[in-house]
Amino acid sequence: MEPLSSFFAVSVILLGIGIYGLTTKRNAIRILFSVELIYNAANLNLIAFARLRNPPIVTGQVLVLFTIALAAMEAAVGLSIIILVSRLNAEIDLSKLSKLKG
Amino acid sequence: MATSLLAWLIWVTPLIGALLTPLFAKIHSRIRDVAAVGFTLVAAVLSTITALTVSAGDYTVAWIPSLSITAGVLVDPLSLFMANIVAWISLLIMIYSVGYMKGEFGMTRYWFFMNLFIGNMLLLVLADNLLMMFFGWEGVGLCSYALIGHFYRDEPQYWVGTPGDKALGVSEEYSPTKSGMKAFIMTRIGDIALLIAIFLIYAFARTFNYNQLVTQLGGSGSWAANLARLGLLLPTALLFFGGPIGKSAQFPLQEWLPDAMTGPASVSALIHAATMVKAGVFLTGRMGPVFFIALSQFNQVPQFFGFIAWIGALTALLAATQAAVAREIKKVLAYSTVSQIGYMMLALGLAGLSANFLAGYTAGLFHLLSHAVFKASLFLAAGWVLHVTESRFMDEMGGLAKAMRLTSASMLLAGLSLMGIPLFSGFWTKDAILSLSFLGGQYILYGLALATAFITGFYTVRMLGITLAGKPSKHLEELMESGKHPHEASLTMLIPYLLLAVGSLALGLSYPIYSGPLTRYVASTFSSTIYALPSATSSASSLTDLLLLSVSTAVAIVGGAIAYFLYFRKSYEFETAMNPIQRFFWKRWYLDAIYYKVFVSGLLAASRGLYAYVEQGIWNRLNNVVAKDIMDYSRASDQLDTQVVDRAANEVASYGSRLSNLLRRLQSGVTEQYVIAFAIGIILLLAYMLFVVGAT
Amino acid sequence: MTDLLFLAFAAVTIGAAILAIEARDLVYGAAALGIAFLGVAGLFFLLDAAYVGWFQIAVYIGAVVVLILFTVMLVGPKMGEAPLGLKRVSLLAAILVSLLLGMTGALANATAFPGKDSCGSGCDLYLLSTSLLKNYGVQLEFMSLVMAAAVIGALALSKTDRGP
Repeated sequence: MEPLSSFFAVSVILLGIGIYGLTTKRNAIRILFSVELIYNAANLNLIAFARLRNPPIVTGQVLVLFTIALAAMEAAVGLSIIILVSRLNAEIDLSKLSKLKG
Repeated sequence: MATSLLAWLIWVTPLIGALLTPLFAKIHSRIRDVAAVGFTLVAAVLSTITALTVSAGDYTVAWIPSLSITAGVLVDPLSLFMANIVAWISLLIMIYSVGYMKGEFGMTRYWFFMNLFIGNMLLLVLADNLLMMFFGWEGVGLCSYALIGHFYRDEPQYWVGTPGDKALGVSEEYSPTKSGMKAFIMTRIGDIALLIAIFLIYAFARTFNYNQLVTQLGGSGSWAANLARLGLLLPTALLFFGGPIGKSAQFPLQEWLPDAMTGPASVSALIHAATMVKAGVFLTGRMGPVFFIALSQFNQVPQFFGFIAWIGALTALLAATQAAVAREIKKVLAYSTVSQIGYMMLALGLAGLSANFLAGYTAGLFHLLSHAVFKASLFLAAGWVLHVTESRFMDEMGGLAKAMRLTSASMLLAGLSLMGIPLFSGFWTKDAILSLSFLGGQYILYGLALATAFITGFYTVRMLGITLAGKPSKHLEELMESGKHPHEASLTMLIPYLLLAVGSLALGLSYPIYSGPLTRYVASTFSSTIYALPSATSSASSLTDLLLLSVSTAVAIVGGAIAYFLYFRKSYEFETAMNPIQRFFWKRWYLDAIYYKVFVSGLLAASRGLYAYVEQGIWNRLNNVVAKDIMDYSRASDQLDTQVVDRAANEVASYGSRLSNLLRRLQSGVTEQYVIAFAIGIILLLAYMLFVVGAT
Repeated sequence: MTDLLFLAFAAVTIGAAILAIEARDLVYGAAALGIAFLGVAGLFFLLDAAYVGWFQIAVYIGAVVVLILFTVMLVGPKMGEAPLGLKRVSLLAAILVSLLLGMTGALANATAFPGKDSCGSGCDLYLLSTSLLKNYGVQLEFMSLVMAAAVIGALALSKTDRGP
C-alpha cells in the first residue's frame, strides 16, 4: 500500500507548478490553468487528509465536491471575462492591461 | 406537515411574487401584471383553503435554537379571519390596479411593493410570535413608505393639500416624497415603543410565542407577575399599544394618514382597507386578551383598556370633524378611515371595560371587516373619479351621477354603509360598538361615539352631494369643452369596487344569519386557552337594544339630512373664509402644525441654537483664549522651532516619504509579486512547522 | 499493483501539469491540462473516492477543459503568447518552488503519516450522499444559488451588444 505522504507529495508538486505558472506567465488563459492546478492540489490534499482518520471522514469528500463545483463556476466566469477583454483590447496579456489601474 | 405548509404558503407566495416581478418584467409588461395579480390570487385562495381544511394549531419550526426561538404560523380563527379579509380585498385592489395604473411609470416597482406589502401583512397576521410579527410590521411600514411616495418626481397633481394653505405658518401641502417620509417617521415613533415592549416581555417571559405567553401566565412566578412586581406591567402594555397607535393612525400619531393620500388611489385603498392601518387593530386584538388576563390578576384592566377606549373615541371624533370640512375627496376618506379605526379601538377597549370581553372583541373585529369592504370600494371608486375629473378637489367635480351611474351607485352603497344606515354592514357593526359602550355604562364614550356617528352621516352625504349631485363645476365644464367627458371605468376597475359595494350591502343583509356562527368562530380562538374570558350574556332587554339602534340611526340620518340640504341642493364653492370652528377643523385642530413646529422646527432650532451658542459662543471663545496664549508661547518658541525642531521634523518626514515610496512598491498591482509573497508565506509557515516537529 | 498505478498516475499528472504551463501552443496546453485532471481523478480512485473521481472527470474534463478549449479557439490560439525567456522572476519562482518542495518533503519525512489502510464503511457512497444531503443540505442549496449567479454573471459578461 502506498503511504498517504506520497499523495501529499504529488499535491505539493502540483501546487509548486501552479505557483510557478502564476508568477511567470502573463497570458490570462495560462494563469487560469495555473489556478486550476492549484485547485486540484488542494482537492487532492483534502481527499488524502480525509483518509488519515480511521474510519475516514466523509467531510473531506463533500468539501471536494463543493470545490470542484466552485472551480467550474470560477472557470466559466473567468473565461467569459477573458473573452470580453480580448474583444475589447485584442490582447489578453495581463501585464499590458492597465485600464482598471488607478 | 403537509397541511401546515398551506398556511406557510399564504404569506410566502406574495413575497415570492414580489421577488419574481422584476424577472417577469423582463419578459413582457403584460405578463408581469398578470403574474403579480396571480400571486395575490394564490394567496387568497390558499387562505380560504387553509380556513376550511387546516386544523387550528401552532405550526413551528426551529429558528434561533440557541435562544430557543421558533418561527411558525399560528392557524387559529383570528388569524384566518384576518388573513382572508386581507388577501381577498388585496386581490380586488390588485385587479383594479391593472386598469388604474396602466401606463404609469415605475410599474415594476409598483407591483413589487404591492406584493411585498400584502406578503408582509399576511406574515404579520399569521406569525405565531411577536418577533416574526415585528418583521411583517416593519415590512408593511417600509412598503407603505415606498408606495405613498410612488410618484417620487413630485409632480404637482400628485400633491395633497390646498396650494398655499398654511397653519401657524406651516405649509399644509404635502408632496409624495414628503408625505412618504412623514408616514415612515411617524409610525416609527410608535414602533420604537412597541419594540421596547416586545423586548420587555421577552426579557421576562423568555419567549415571543403568543401561545406560550398565554400559558405562562399562571402563578406568582409568571412573566406578568414579575413585570408587575417591578411596576412595569401596565407601562409595558401601554408601550405595546404605542405600536398600534402609530400604525393605525390613532391620536396622537394620526397625522400621517391624511397626507398619505399622495400615493395612487389603489395604494390608499390597500393601506386603508386591507393592510397597514388594520395591522394595529389586529395586533391589539391579538395581544388584548393576553394583556387582559395578565392585568386582571393585578386589577389593572380598567387603566389599560380605558386608555385604548378613550384614544379610540377621541380619535374617532377628532378625525370625523376634520372630514366634515375637508376639500379633497381622498382626504375625506382618509379622515373617515382614522375615525372608523377609532371605533374599532373603542370596541377593543370596551371589551376590557365591560363584563363581556368577547362581545367587544368581536364587535371591533366585525367593524374591521365591514369597514375593509366599504372603504376599499369607496377608495377605488374615488380613484376613478379623480382620474376622470383630473382633480383632487371636490369643488372641481359635481354632477357626476349622470355620466357615471354605476360608479355613483357603488359610492352611494358604500357611503350608506359608512353612515350606518340600516341593512348595510356598517350599521350592524357600528351599532354593536355604540350599544356596547352604552350598556357598559361608559356614557361619555357613548356620547363621543354618537357625536362621531352624527358627523359621519354629515360628511358622507356632503362628500356624495358635492361630487355626484348638482351641476358640473367650472373645472369640469372646461374639461368637457376640451372633449374629455366623464365616463364609466373599464371593467377591470369597475368590477372590484362594484363588487365591494354590493358585498357591503350583502354583508349587511345577511348579518343576522352569519353573525352568530362567525362570532362563535372568532371567539373560539380563546376557547383553548386555560383562562376563561368573561362572556356574560347581555342583560339588556330587547327594547333597550331597539332604542339604541334607533337613536344611532336617527343621529346618522339627521347628520346626513343636514348635509343633504346644504350640499345636494346648492353647488359647492370652496371658500377660504371660514367661521372659527370650521377653520379649527380645517387646520386639523392645529395638531399637524404644532407637531411640525415642535418636533421639526424645534429640532432645527435646537441644533441651530446649539451651533450659535455652544459651538460659537463657548467653544470658540474657549478656543480663542487658548489659542492666544498658545500664540504668545509659540512666538517665543518659534526661534527654537525653525532651528532645531523643524530640521528634525523634516528629516523624519523625508524618512517617512522614503519609507512610503518603498511600501508603495508593495501595492504594485502586479499579480506575480503577490503570488511570490504568498509562496514565501507558505514557505515560512512550513519552516515553522518543521521547527515545531523537529523540536518534539 | 497499487504502487505501480500510483506511480503512473502521479507521473502523468505532474508531467501533464508541467506541459500545460509550458506548452508553446495553448491548445496543447489545454489538452495537457485535461490529462493532468485525469491523472488527479485517478489518484482519487486510488484513495477510494470513486464518486469524487467521476465527478472530477465529468466536471473538469467534460466542462472546464471544453470551455477552455472553446475560449482558446475564440480568442485565437496564438494570442498574447509572450516569448518564453528565463526572466528574473522565473528564476525567483523556480527557487521558491523548489524551496517549497524541499521543505514539504522534509516535513513529510519528519511527520509519521500512517499508511493508507482499508477504507471500510467510511468510503461508502451511501454515507457520502446522506452526509451531503443531511449535514450539508443548506450549503448545497447555497452552492446552487452561487452557481446560478455565476451562470447569470457569465452570460451578462459575454453578452454582445451588437453595436454599429
